[in-house]
Amino acid sequence: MSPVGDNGRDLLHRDRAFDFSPQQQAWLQFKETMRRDRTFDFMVKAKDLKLDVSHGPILYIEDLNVSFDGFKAIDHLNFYVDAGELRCVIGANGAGKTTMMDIITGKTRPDSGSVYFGQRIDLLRLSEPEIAEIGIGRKFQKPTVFEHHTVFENLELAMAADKRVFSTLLARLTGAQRDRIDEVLGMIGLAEHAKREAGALSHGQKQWLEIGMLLMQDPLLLLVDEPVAGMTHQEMDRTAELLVSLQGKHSVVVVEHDMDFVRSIARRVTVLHQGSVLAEGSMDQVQNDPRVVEVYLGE
Amino acid sequence: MALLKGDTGGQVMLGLLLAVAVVVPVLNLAVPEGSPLHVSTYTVTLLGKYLTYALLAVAVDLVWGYLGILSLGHGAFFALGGYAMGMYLMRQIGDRGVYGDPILPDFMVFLDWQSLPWFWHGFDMFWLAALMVMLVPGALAFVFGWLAFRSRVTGVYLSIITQALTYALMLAFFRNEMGFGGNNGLTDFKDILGFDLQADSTRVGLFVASAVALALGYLACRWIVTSKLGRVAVAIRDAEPRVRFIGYRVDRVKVAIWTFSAMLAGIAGALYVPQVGIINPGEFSPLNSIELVVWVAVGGRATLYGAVIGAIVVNYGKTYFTGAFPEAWLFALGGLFVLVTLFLPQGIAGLFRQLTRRRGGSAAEGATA
Repeated sequence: MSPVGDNGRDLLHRDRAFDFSPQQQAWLQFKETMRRDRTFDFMVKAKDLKLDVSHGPILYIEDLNVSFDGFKAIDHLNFYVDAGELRCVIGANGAGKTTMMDIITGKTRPDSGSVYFGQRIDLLRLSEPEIAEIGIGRKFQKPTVFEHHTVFENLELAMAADKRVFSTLLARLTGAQRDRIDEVLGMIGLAEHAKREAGALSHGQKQWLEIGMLLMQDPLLLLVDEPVAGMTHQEMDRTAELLVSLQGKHSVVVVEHDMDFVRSIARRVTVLHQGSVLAEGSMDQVQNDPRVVEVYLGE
Repeated sequence: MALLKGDTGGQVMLGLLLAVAVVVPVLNLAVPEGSPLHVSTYTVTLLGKYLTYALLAVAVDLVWGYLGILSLGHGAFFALGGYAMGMYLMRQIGDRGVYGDPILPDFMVFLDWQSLPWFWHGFDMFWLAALMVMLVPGALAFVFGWLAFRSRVTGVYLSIITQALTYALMLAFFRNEMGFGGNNGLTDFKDILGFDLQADSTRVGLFVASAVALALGYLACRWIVTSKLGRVAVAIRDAEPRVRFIGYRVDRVKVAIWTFSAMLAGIAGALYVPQVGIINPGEFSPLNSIELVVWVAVGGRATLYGAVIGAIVVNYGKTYFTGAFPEAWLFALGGLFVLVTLFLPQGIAGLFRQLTRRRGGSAAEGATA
């Protein structure tokens, strides 16, 4: 069977491009470039892309693979998130949770597989700022706020706005924007700290500030990495309340270790193990799955 | 003046600058030479030179202090601006050169060239030279920045590349074939815009122009750092990946501010050359660019006015030491850098801020007591 021909497109999606001779690879590359469903897509601006969630899911991850120095961080991962859903992802250290978020937000490039935002937008072709612009926001595991800016300024910088250089240089806060910042300050409980430098906040407050920055971006999909690490129980309850209130209008993916917290917010839980999905379902289903008990909950 | 709100150091600095820019010319031109109050033309020119250095330091502080890019090659932009001005001044010599050629500068006659190289055309017009003073450093910075920042070259690697940039330019400008006077550079200038460069009034005029350029450059930088773009810049300095994830194109922000800074450095170079009367490839020397970073560190990073203080203090020290103890200058510079790093990590501006805060603090305590 000749590897080149009409089925070249399928061959291109095989994992290992090095199975092909250089000529075959060049041909496949050529075919990829000339695909008619993607004509001139390098000219399509990220913001012109229309999100299409008519089939339900807002995020499609299919047959994804990444390895670092031979270690398979993500191994044939398939993962879907419905529009408006609040999903929890759990898994032991090294299960690939953070790597998955890195790929969705454009920080890490996978070896193979596809990641789509809605049905049309191929996230693997976009840069980090473009991905942020089309509506995917992220909270990091280790809270990273801008330490030398005040809480207010942190929110101002994150705010959804025209972020090109000259618009930013000339930007002035409008009344509506100021109100929005005040509103978010209230939601995250930092109103009286608005003028403090973010570096002076406690760990829990930084977590809240980062969630606030995420809200300011007004994203369609929020990726939240360990939001309650370092929080008191009271703070945790408020975080849970906040995240639950977001579902419907936003889609939220939460990665968390704290099982009590997950139980308090989750409708559906996905368990990752060694870079692929081990189990998926309601908290009760997942907790009673013997494989899950063995690798994660049983510890 | 909303730009200077909360910027006590800047207000003081600009106030002093204004006073100096008024008093020094009066003391030079109106006070007779025998009087103890007379300021010699030599001093005026020396001060003018310091002011151009101060402008250069402000340009470096903008990218280092606020954007986190440690440039060890800003001397290159300064020198390019200087060369553009030097070319204009060379063309003004006309047939008053040693060889008396009405068009060709002396070094070209000496090299037996028959006509002007293409890039020397038009430099007899001041407006074109003035434009090139900004465009040439700006274009170089744009191309360099575009390549470096898009590839996400940061930190030490970027510093080393900027150092290599200025070194490469130095080697290139040393070559006679480049058409910029080789080793000797451009010198023997006669007049600028029709004014005799040796005249006291011209010297004073250049001094005042330097002061005005410094003030405007300072205000322009202040405008940038107090804008939202300035806050984005500081955010890039502190947590670059995070800025990318909230949707700013970090590379473009960097290229824009970097290019602006290079243009500012070019203007400083253009004001420097007519005052010192020469521009040669030595200005591209990597050591110059490093020294320049020391000025900013001594003055205090990320304050802008600190860069002005640092440039003036260190250069005054240099003038003094190279006169009094010529051998000791480099040791003094090195020692100063070590001392500042150890005991004044915020530089002189940090000391100034600490003092005002302490005074403000004790006043508040007094009020509550």
